Amino acid sequence: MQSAPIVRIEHLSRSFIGPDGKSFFALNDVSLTAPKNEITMLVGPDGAGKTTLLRICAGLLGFTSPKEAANKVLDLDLNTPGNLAQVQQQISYMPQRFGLYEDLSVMENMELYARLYGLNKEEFSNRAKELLHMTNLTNFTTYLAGTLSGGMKQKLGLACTLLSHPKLLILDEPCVGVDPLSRVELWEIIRRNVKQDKLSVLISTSYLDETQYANKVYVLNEGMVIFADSSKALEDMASNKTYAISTGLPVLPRVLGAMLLEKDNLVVDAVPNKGSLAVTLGKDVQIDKLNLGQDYKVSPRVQRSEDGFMCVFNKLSQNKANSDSGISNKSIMSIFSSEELLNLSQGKLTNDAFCEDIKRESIIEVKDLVKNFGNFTAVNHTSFNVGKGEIFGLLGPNGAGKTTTFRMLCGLIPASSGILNVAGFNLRKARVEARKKIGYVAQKFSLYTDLSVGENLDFFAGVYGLRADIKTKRINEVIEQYELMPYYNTKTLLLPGGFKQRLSMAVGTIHKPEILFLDEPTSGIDPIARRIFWHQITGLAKEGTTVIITTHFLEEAEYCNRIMIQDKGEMIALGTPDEVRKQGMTAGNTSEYLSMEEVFISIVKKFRDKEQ
Amino acid sequence: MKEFLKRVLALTNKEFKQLWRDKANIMLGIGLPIILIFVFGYGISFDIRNAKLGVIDLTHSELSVKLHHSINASHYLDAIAYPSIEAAKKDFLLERIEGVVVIPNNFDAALWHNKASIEVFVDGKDPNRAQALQGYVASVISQTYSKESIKKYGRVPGSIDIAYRMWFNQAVSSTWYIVPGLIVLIITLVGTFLTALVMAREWERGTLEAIFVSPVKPLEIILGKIIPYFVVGLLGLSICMLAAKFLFEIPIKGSIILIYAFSMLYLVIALAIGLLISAAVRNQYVASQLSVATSFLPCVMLSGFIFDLRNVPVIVSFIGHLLPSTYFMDLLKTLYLAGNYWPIIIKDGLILGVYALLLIYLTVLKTKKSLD
Repeated sequence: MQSAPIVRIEHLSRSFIGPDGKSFFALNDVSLTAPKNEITMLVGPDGAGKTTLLRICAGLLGFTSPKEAANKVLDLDLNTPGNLAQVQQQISYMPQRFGLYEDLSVMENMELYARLYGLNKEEFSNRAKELLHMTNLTNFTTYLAGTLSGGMKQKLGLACTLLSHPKLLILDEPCVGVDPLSRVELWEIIRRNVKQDKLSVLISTSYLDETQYANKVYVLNEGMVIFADSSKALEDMASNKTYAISTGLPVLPRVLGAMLLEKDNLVVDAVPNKGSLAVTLGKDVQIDKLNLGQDYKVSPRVQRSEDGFMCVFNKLSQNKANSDSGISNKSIMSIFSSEELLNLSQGKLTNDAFCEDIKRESIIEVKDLVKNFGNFTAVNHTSFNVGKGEIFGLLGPNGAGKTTTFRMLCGLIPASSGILNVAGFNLRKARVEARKKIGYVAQKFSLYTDLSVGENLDFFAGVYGLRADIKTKRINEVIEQYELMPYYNTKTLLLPGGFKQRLSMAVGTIHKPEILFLDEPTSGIDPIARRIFWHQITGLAKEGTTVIITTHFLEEAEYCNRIMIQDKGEMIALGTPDEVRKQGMTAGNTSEYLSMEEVFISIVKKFRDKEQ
Repeated sequence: MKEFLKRVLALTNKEFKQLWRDKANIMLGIGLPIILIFVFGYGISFDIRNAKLGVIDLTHSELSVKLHHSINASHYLDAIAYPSIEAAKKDFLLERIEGVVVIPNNFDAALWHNKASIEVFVDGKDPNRAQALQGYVASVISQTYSKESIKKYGRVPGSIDIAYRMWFNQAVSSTWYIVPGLIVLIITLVGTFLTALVMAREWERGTLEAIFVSPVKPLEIILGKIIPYFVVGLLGLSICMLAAKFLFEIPIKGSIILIYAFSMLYLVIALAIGLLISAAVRNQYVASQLSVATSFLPCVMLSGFIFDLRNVPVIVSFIGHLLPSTYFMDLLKTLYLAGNYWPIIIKDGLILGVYALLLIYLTVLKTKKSLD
């Protein structure tokens, strides 16, 4: 007989009061079963209800459900008072934001949890030793948690939750803000505990490739479950629809992708991947309907969970005429003229910005750049150039120095030594002049949430010192460009998520900067929003804006003209995604065409081995 | 029970470590009491140097001239002679002098009838300074008088009645009871402000969310917060009392045990208010604003620390009497300055007890292991 599932949720609902004062369903008639000793995964866009569901399972939030419904964790009914304490005794939960005491050391954090769970000294020292080893934190036990890198913090958090040998582990997006290397390690720890310790896991994630580890995947959207099956079944949602298009021309894959996304409902997804364009066709669309010129080479490719995910959302938006979920013409702004669209699909090149290998004049020159914080060298003798109109990606694990480099480039912190020219100005001497040429979009949109869209634009245009006539003109331009007109008088707080992103882009570009700096703009946002975002960036680059971007999603490096990888303050790779890929391939001794993530891991590992 | 103690101990231990590492907290809990007591204490005791006093000598006897000279000779006072009260009052209005001493014309004769009086006028706008001035004048006069009369007559003919008059603010009679006031202030600060802040920080950083899903019980979380800040509060209190005793030599009339006992009771009230605030807002910034606005400021303004509640409008007095700090202030002033006066101790003690029970009940009710 099959044993009872560790979590059983039936027809569960939960509503909250939204910022507009109206009540809305965060979860609407959700049912879920998480079997014992398995990994059950929740995916879906922001605001889909993942966190709410996890919190309910952890006994932290109330809910409503029909009388006859059973909502049980560890076979204990969540509605029965007194059961919650019993549940919480046997499970562990890691909220999205660490939940660590930053002013306590690694060991002190672990001790606290051990004592709260009532472990005795011997149990604790054995288990702590095991977990410290597993998390590679053995040498860091005296470090304060606040001084650890993002990846190490998450590993410590995981170690704390695993101390008590919980029966169920609930993890809320544990990999947000974690570099790929640490992410691999985190998953190793989780999977090892599932195997050895009979652990059951309920986890949410925004990395769709992680569905490969899950036994069952639930896709949530707007508080409802829209898909529930194995990760294989999720992949198969896209079976026979996935193709790789290598341009064969100097056309950048991102430009081809942007073009295809603008065509009416032909493709569900189009992202640069492994040097070509990965396309997922829409429902009932055949590949020849794309009408591509002969130079483009089309070949079938294996479907990934991300493709399946996009198909699930596409199906949803077709069923609901008015839904704005998934990528649709409504969410994609048009950045090409119809003539450009036609030319591009035929492979005729009309704009240099669409091409890979054109000669570009440098807009940013960095030579021997150094930044010291006391005795610590955050950036060590780094030199590179960025060409006008390029999308330039800064990549690296947590603590690699990419944020420091980024901040020096946009003049937020001074360099210790070296040459730093931005838009023709020496940034070390003429910071103010250089700043007028650059735009900056911070990780958390720096918008005034109680001002309307129009007021925000007006304010920031004023801050950048635009003259009255130019100001009105530019405001009108960005409103048109980012299609913000319907929300002109809407308070920013009440904007749908995607439009907040658009507004912050509009604000960052209102003074027509020559260079736009984006600091992890896609961190923690879902795949659909990321597609829309990159579409905007492609549009900006087409207009000649240079874009400098940091990201945690390595596959996004494929959107860039060139990328730089840093580790421990050193630049360890620089070039086009393909050039960097070659560097990673020789390092890994493999003939396979690697994904950017694999390339990254191989390059960083090689560098670290050499260091030792 | 053993589990319970172990968990409370674990939480308390953690809190102490955090407290010790965050220097800002230490400053607030221990540094601030020291700073406050110096600012308030020295600000009052030693500010008076060479204060200018008008002296109107209407007798011109040997004794009255001696009195006049002795006032001038004091470190604290400078005498300036005036022919008439009117002339002195003019300079007084122009703030050229801070007070006026009037020796009447029949002074020597009245002495033998035990009817001698000296009038001292001081500036009532600043009652604290005025009071200090009165003290200096009185001691100079009485010392000179007894010394001179013993030298001359071999005995003191009769006592001098020194009549004090306040100009500008005649009704004022408030005394700045610095030390009891400071104790109330510091306990409120540590109990409410600091506790609200650290608890809100735990909500903000998600640490409470993580700890909720563990065998820990709400009461244990509360105790884990209360115990460390209770200790810090008592430390602040002790610093104040030691400073009062050794720096300012302020005597304690009542029982030290009672002072500590009621301070602990009030500390519990302050802590409970802090925990309630943080449970309600869960945000450090709002929590700090709210705790300053609802407990610290009223404690300074409305509990009788600065303004005597007998001299304020009815509505202000009414609000003041809703605050637990008012009763604690009253109780402490009594214990410190008047001694063990039981009717007040029992009345204020009972009121504080009721507040404590009510607030603890609310805190336990409010601190649920839930994010709702």
